[in-house]
Amino acid sequence: VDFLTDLESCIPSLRRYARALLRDGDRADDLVQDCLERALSRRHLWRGGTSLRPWLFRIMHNLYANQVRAQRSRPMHQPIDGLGAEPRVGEAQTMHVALSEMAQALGQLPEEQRRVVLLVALEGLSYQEVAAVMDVPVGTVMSRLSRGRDRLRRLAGGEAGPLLRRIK
Amino acid sequence: VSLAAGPIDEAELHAYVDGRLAADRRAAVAEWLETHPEERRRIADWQRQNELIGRLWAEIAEEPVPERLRVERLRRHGLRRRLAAVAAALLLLAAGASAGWLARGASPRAADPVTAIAGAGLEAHRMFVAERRHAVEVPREEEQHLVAWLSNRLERPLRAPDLGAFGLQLLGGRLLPMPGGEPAAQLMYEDPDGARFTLFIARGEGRDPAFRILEAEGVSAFYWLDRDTAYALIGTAPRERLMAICQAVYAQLESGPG
Repeated sequence: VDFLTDLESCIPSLRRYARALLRDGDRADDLVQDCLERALSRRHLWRGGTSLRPWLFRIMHNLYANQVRAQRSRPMHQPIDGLGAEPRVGEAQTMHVALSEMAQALGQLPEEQRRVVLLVALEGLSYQEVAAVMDVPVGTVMSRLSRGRDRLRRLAGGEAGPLLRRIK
Repeated sequence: VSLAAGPIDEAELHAYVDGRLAADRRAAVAEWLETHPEERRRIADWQRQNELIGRLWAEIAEEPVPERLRVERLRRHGLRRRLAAVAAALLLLAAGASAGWLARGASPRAADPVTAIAGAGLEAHRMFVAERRHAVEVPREEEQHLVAWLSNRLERPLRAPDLGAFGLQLLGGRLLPMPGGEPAAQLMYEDPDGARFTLFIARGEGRDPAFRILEAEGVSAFYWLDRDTAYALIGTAPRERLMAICQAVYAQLESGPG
């Protein structure tokens, strides 16, 4: 596939992931723009024949990590967007509450666990791809995924039954 | 939770939830879960998490991409920015050169590989621009063949820039050996006054994106490295004109396909 066509087709997914990371539409699109510009200027570094999307996530991660470093001194302000405030009833309301809880819970995950959970659950990357994106061994990805998912269980109750209190 | 004792490991539970298991392992995990209610609840919660996370930002991926993120637009912007940087670099170079900062002569001493290529280009320029009947090996009438042939020998996609805006017409080109035996390509252009310019192209290495000038006996070579390809634009003309041609060459190579 042509690089530019492939790049274009990855944008919706990049926007979704950036939004989930940053929780702010404008800042998320700024990050996507930086990512696309960098990808364009470094396209000769991309090895054709491999999947483009993980390569783009890797670029985005590096840019994001720089941002986080730069902002560490400032308190993090995280608006939770994407959830309308209009009243809902019945099933819609139950779902709304569940989504809202999940959004909150994700916000409380340690950064590294949150990224792994999002890349797997939201973007459907393989564990190997996540490892390449984050530049860590697959084993590390799996342990972050386990910790992240179990932590989400404790933070946001699922429909699947009462939360189990684990004895440490 | 450690499942090391059982036949199913933790990684397989994740793969089960994420739909990344082969059918036989999938069946094995499902069967194992039958007798492990606590893990079954855990897996069900993970599945529920996947569903909710997928829903939370689903609409972002559905909505149309904002104009400012269109690849074509970013690409044009990027090109314009790089061209501005190129223009600035060339101006700086011309200013520095007039102040005497310049590599003079095609001396091979301690030259880096890209400068050596520019030096070879200068020599080839002097050799062939003087030719009336045999200036080129393949004439412009066979431009397509010429470009395909040279691309093939240099093992990279080349193109003959259109320099009509400067009154330059392609005469044709030839294949040349570099001193070490590497192939190099020479494209020759001519203006209405009969002044000739050559674009010399060879495989290059290094990371230096700077434009540089090499001059010998009134002939100037503006040369640069673009990724793995070295280019030298060579001619006898005021520096401003060479600079302008250089920018056009650079712009056309950048905006090209591939």
